[in-house]
Amino acid sequence: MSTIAARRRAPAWTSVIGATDHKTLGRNLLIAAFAFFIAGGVLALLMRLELAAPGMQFVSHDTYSELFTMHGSTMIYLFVTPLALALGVYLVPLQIGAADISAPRLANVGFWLYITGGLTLESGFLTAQGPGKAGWFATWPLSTSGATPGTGMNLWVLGVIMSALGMIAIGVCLLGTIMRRRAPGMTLLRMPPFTWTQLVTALMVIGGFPVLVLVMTLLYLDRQGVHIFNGFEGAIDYQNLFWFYGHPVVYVMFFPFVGCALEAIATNTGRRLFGYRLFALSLLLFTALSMSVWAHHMYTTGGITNRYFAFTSTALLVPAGIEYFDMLGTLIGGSIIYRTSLLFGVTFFLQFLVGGASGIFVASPTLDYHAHDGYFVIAHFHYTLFAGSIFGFFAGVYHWFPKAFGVTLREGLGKLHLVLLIIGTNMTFFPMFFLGQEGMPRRVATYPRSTGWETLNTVETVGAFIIALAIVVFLWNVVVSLRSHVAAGPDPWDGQSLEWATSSPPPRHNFDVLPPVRSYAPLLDLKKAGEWPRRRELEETPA
Amino acid sequence: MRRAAIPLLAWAVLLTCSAVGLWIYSHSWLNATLISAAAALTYLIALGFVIRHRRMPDASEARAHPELSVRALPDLSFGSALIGIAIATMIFGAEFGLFLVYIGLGLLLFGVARLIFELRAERRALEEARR
Repeated sequence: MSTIAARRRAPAWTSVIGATDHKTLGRNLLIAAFAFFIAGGVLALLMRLELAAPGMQFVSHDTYSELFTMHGSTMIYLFVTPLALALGVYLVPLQIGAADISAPRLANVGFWLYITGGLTLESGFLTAQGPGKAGWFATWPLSTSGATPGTGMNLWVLGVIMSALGMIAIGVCLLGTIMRRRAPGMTLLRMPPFTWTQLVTALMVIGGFPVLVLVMTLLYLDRQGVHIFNGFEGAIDYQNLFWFYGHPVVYVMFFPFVGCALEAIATNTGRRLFGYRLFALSLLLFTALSMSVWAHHMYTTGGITNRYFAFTSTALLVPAGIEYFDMLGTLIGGSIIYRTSLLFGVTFFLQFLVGGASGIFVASPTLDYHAHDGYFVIAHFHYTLFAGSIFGFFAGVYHWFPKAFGVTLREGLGKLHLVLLIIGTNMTFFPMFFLGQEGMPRRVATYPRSTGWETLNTVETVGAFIIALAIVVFLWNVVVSLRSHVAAGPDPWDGQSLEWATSSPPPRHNFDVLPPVRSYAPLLDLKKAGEWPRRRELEETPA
Repeated sequence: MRRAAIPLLAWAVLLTCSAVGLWIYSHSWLNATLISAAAALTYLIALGFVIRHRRMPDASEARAHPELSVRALPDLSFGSALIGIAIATMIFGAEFGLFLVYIGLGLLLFGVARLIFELRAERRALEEARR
């Protein structure tokens, strides 16, 4: 008997603590992020219940401030950003033919910093004065110790620092993996679209997140009595520093899901991604511009050069347009199979279009003066951050679930999930445009009955519960699909990239044999040349 | 693989263009400094990848060097988890007292020691494979 065979198998819980396998790490991150999503979602439902009718129903003004702060913070710091990186941790090594992620121990350090950061942030609910209540960006001077005293707000600041450090560590690992662990033949211009989106995401994390750590450290010191930010200039400096992180993070929460949607669309049309090289170039341009537009959040402050930031913000249309044409070009002429993943992918682009188109309004300083701090902005950023991430995420989930778990999710339940999510999203967020236009300010727990905003607010509340129902359907789908034990096989969708060349779920070392890489769709090349079995051939092969 | 740094350099150049624009048009030194620092950081990372370039061995090289096909990385690394928790404990200590910073430091020492053991075991496994 060999030594390895005699070794005792480690209990399953140890893989949660000290996993170095990128697949286990990615799965742990995904599960944790989704748990935070449910927590943030519950806070959103409470807010919507309060706003369903004028007057104070369930919570006080102070509690409402805590709810919107913790909802935004949970969703941005603890759900969407980690989710975007978690997909990369799981999929990037598989897509580029690597056995591991670079510096897996650093990634594990990052995972623990994220978890402890998340718990620290949420632990404010256990303190006497409640958690953070200065909004998800803790606007100074609202976040001073005088305006928002208490341990809860301090814990909020420390939690953000920890989770940001965790994300930086994971971003560094992803960048290292893409730069140094690609399989032979996998040049940069042969990387799958999803890996490209992860590359630019990692760049933005490394470029933007250290500034968040810096500004939160300065804010913490400021709250301890070290006067860092003072007067008008201090407020402007705080906002400059915060939004230098705060705008790129919007794209950190968007690009990976563009990758998910495009991969799902390309696979389900049986075509290569249209305009691949232009797509890669547009991503770089998109990323650089997204680092150059942060101060459009500050048009109304009078402390920045509005004209310059209006120009860069409007210029974002060019790379965004290229991505839309890539999507359309891939769909046109393809033999489309209407799987749930494809439908989620297309819906992602359509829903994000609403956010993008309304972004043109708020990119203009003149119009932004009217929309600023109102519900129009809330509608805009929920279409970009919620619709622009969650639909792409679910496209990725339905696409790669069989790879990660060995079983496919049920298509019928998936389509029900999609329909409910579309209805819920649009019922919740579209009326906000009208409310914003009519002047409803954000961060208010009530509104006068005479304004006539009640009907639209009630519609939004119903919509929020439909979103919750959609999530329940999704979780139900996961449970019944996992319990079905029907093996999906290594390549259930006739995939195009390397992850479909290995078993589902992949072994610890990812690949027994790596196929040759001749383009960004290596498996599609081989299938077209008859050198790799298609899905139908695999199904017909006797076990 | 040195060419892998090209997208980083391209991104850094784009950031530089934006920084130049801000130095010219913005009246806030902080605006221009932030984007210039991001560009400088990207140049540094690209330079790092150019200097320390490395690529995965192809099949023929792996045959000539059997140690390249050995997986020495352990499945579990408690040292790294301990380091993560230690850093978090020290940050937590900023709010709840110096004692947590000391506990965090202790945990950090344990974590680093454990990591050294892991790395030594990894190196030994590779040396055995080479023999």
